[in-house]
This record gives sequence, C-alpha cells and structure tokens, in this order.
Amino acid sequence: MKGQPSRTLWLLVLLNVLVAGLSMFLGRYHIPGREVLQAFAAPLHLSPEGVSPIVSTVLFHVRLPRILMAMVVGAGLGITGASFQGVFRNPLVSPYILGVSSGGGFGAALAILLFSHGHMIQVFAFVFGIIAVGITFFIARLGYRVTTYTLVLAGVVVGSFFTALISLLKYVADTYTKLPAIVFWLMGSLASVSMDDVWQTAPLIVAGIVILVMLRWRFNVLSLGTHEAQRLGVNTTWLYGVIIVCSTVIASSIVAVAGIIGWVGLVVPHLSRMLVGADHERLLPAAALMGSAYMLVVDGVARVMSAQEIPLGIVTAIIGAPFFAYLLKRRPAPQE
Amino acid sequence: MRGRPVQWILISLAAAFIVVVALVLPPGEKVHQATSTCEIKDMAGKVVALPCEVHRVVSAMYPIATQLMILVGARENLVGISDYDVNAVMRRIWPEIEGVPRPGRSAGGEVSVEEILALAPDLVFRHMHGGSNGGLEGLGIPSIVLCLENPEALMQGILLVGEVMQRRERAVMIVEYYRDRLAFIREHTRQIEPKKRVYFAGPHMLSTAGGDYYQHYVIEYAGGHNVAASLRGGWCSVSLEHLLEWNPDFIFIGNYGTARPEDFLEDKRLRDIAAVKNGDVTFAPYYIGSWDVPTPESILGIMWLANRLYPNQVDFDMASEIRRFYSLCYGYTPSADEVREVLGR
Repeated sequence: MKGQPSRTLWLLVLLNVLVAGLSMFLGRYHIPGREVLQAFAAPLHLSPEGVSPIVSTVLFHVRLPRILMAMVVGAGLGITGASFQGVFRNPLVSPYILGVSSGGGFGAALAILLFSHGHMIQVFAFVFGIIAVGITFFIARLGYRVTTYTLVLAGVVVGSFFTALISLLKYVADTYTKLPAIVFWLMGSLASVSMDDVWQTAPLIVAGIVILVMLRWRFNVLSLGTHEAQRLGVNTTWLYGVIIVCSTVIASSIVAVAGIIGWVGLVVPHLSRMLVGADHERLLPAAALMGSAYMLVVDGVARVMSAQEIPLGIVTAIIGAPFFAYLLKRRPAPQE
Repeated sequence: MRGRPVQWILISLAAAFIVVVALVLPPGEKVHQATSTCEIKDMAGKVVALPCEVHRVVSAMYPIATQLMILVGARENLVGISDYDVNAVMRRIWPEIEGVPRPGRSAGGEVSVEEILALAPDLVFRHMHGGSNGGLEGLGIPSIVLCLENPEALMQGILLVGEVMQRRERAVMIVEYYRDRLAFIREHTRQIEPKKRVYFAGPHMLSTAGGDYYQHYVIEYAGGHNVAASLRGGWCSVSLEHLLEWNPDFIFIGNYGTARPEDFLEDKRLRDIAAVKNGDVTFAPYYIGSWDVPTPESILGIMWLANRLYPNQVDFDMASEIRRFYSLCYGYTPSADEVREVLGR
C-alpha cells in the first residue's frame, strides 16, 4: 500500500509524456503522422529521409513551445492551487484568490490602451499582478494581525476592485477597436507562444514550482493550524511568506504569458487529492503533474475542436465547472 | 381628520415648491411640428413613419450614421453624435462638430433615453446589433435601423440616409462614384487566377475577420481572397498553424489592434509565408478612421488594397483619389502633407 502513491506519481509522469507526444500530432496544419515521427527521428539520424522546413517549423517552433508552455502553465496553476488550498485551509480557494488575475488583467488592459503593441502587455500584466497581491497584504495588515482569514477577505476586495477597474477600461476603450483586443487577452490563449516566450517565462515558473515542491513536508504542519505549527517549532510567518511569494510569482507569470485561465487551479488540486490523498508530500507534485496533463488536454481541445482557436479560459471553464460539480458529488461526507 | 400642523406645513411647502419649480423651469423646446408624415422602409425591413422634413437627427447609437449624415450633406441636422465621431482629423474637416451634443453612452452602445428626449430629435439612427434603445419607439421618436455590413449595404445606407434627409441627388452622385471605382477594379481583376490570398489582422496578430465581417468584403471587392473566408462570427481567433497553412500573399493590419508588421516579418516561424518573404506586410491606411471598417472611407481601402495586390492591373493614383474622395464626400481637401502621411503609414 505504501508504494502505491509514488507509483501514481510515476504514472502521471508517463501520462504527461503520452499526452504531450500525442499533442505533437494535433493542429491546424496538416502533417501526416509518419512525417511527425520522421521529424523526431531526423536529429537522431535514424531516418534517411529529410523533413521539409515548414514541417519542422510547425512541429518544433509552433507546436513544441505551445506544448511546453501549456505544461508549465498547467503545472504552475495546479501546484499554486494546491498550495493555497493548503495554506488557507479552504478547498474553494484558487491561485487567483489574492487578486493576481484581476491585477494582471488590469495591467494588460492598461498596456493595450496605452501602448497597443509589444511586450509591455506582458510586463504590465506581471507587475500589476504582483502589485494587486501587495495591496491585498497591505489591506490585510490594516487589522491588527495578518491571518489567512483577513488575507482571503482582502484578496476578494482587491480582486473586485481591479475587476471594476478592468470594466472601467473596457468602458473607456473604443468598442470597435481596442475592446476586442482586451477581451481576447482576458480570455487567455497560448496560440502565439514562441520558444523565446518559453525561455523568458518558464524558468521563473519552474523555479517557483521547485521551491514549493521542496517545501511540501512543511505544508502538512501548516495544515494543523498556525498555533500547532508554531508549537512544533515552525516559523509560520516565514513559511507563509515564502509560499505566497512563490505562488504569486508563478500565477503572475502565468497570467502575463497566457491570460486569465480559470478553474484549472481549483479543479486540479481536487482531482489530485482524489488520486493521492491529502498528504501534501504527494499532493503537491501530483497537482503539478496533473495540472500539466490537464492543460495539455485543454489546449488540445482549444486547437482541434473548431475551425478557429477557442480561448483557453472558455474551455477550462466549460470543462472545469461541470467536472468540479461531479467531484463534489463524488466527495465522501466530511469526517469532521 | 385631525392632521398635525407640522404635517400640513410640510405638505403646503412641498406644494408651493412644485408650483414654483413648474413656473421657473423654461418650457420644453418646441418640437418641430411635422406638417406631414412620410413612410420609409429601413434596413431591418421595417416600415417607419417619420416627418417628411427631418430636422433634428441623433446618430449617437451608431457612429457610422454620423459619417453618412455628413456624406449626404446633412451635417447641420445632427443634434446628437457619439464620442467616436470626434477626433483631430474630423475637427479639421468640420470644426463645428465640437459644438454638437454627445449624449452619454454606455459600453453596450445604449444611450440614455432621457438625454435623447432632451435633444428633441425627429429621427434617430440605430444599428441592427448595437444597443437596442427599444424604448425610443414607444416614446414616439421614429428610429431607422442601418445595417452596413458590406459595401453594397453601405451604398444602400447612403441612399437611404439621402432619401430621409431629402438629399437624394447628392447620395446618388456619391454612390455612383463608389460604383464607378468598384466596377473598374472588378473589370481589371476579373480574369486573374489564382487570386491573391490575403490575411487581415484585427484586434491582435492572430485575430482575423471571418467571412461575415466588413474586412472580408474589402478584400473580396479588391479582387483578393480572404484566407479566413470560411470562418464565421466576426473576429476569429486563429493559430500560427492556420497562417502557415493559408500561406497568404499579402497581410494587412488594422491600425487599432496590437499587431505590427514587425511581428510578422521578424517571426522566424513565419519566414516561409509568401507575404513575409516578399515583405508584403503593412498597416491598413486610415484618415478620419480606419479604411477597413464599414465607413464611407472604406472605398479608399478597397482601392488601396487593389493597387497593392495587382499593381500591373489596377493603377489608381491614390494621392489624387484621396483628395478627390474627401473633397467630394466631406467638402475638405487634405493637404499634400496629410496625403503623404496617410499613404506613408
């Protein structure tokens, strides 16, 4: 029985490899399966036939970065969701609870209005995501002590405030011209991700994920409650700080590169808990792996389901919401 | 009935206040008494009863209607326009536009009914899909629906506005100008096979106009083929793989989105696309507004695109066409510098 959860983790790794491999075959540009295999074999000099440049562009510069980014984004959302649900001891918390997504969305909308072009959109989204969480902390500190309770409430306040600011920008934006750009951005997409984007964003997210995974034992202590944890000699303030900073950097980077992709950070931790249980030692890596596979599937659906690209935020919500309802139904009655 | 004195005092004060207010307030502006009523069919197919002589027009719900009013020479009759109608170029063309009231407008295109009533219009123009402002009809203000989703409909719209505003001759003259230019392009590009494949980038690099959007018609009327013609639903999101598969010969970009020509030209993944190889990636020109959207200026967009796609068959002198168009339609001739700027973008 003891070895089973870690075997589950290895199975999840295998699942990721399979889905990622399958994703290389999916896309709008028609490439026969044989050519895909040839393209992979080419660098290994296993195949005598060469591959046309356009096929290798599609495979290695369009599909591959997209697949890598989907995995990193999914893993990031999964693990920050699981972390926050652990830290706040609340199963309804998502990575966006402290206002990252609304702040990031506002930053992006502002950049679209101000500059309209280029990388400033991502920079603004990232910076405003961080700023929003900073404000959440500031508000939570207005009470005499920062508790997880005041943090969540402050996060809801800041989230609503920035959502209102987004609406304000949408209202001001030219209906025929700027508005569609903002709306598209907010719905989330990985359609234009390049290898450069992967190199620029993925290291930060992966670093955050690694730190969270390294801290996984301490999450169990935190879940006993702040007082218990302190009695066991854990510096809870420091621990909360590290977890929240890591999660915020991960979530902000994700919002900056992919827009607002909802539901993944909520559904994936629950799914993972069903698989490996509530022990964070296994839950956190499982949530990362599960998130990655889940996002690959969602992005695959977004690419293949219709003649156009479907924004990811729509797909994750349409798949995520009913799935979450299903999970709730299957959930055993609470023990407490 | 024994009321307390305080109550009675309050009631009398309130009554006195109402009387004073009623006396002090100026009487509402006299609405033009229409001597006779005419009927006309609008573009939603509805028969609308309206005064035969229309004096006060609100176009705030549909900015393009403002352009049509100016076009048919009835700009003096505009009493309510939208913020989108006023920009630096428009102020140069018609400085008095600054003085035309702009009723508040919500993001959905709905305009405050009370503000519109205060403008005492004889007629309001509406958009088929825009804010409904359905209440206006119930209040007795005739409203005409315009639907200008392709160049043919735009010309019908010009004729309709001309008819309503009793500027029929001018509307017909302008539509003849349109037909003449469109016929020239059709004549000279009809034989060309295969047609040039064109991709249009709208709100962002990977957002394009499906077969039901105005940009699609701009491309088709210019003799090109919209690579996204089979998609539907206005702005359509696509992926880089679409672009690679479509392999367009020409890419143009709305000046209102987030994409730039460099985004296409410098993206290594797109280097095998014909348009990128030949450097045929450019912003669409704009003057009052964009030339790719359903405005009167779109005829220039069609001419410009036809020139760019088929330089050997179509050879409009765009500089003189621009001067001719704006002087004919807007009574304003852009300076040589302005023309250079428009074409240099």
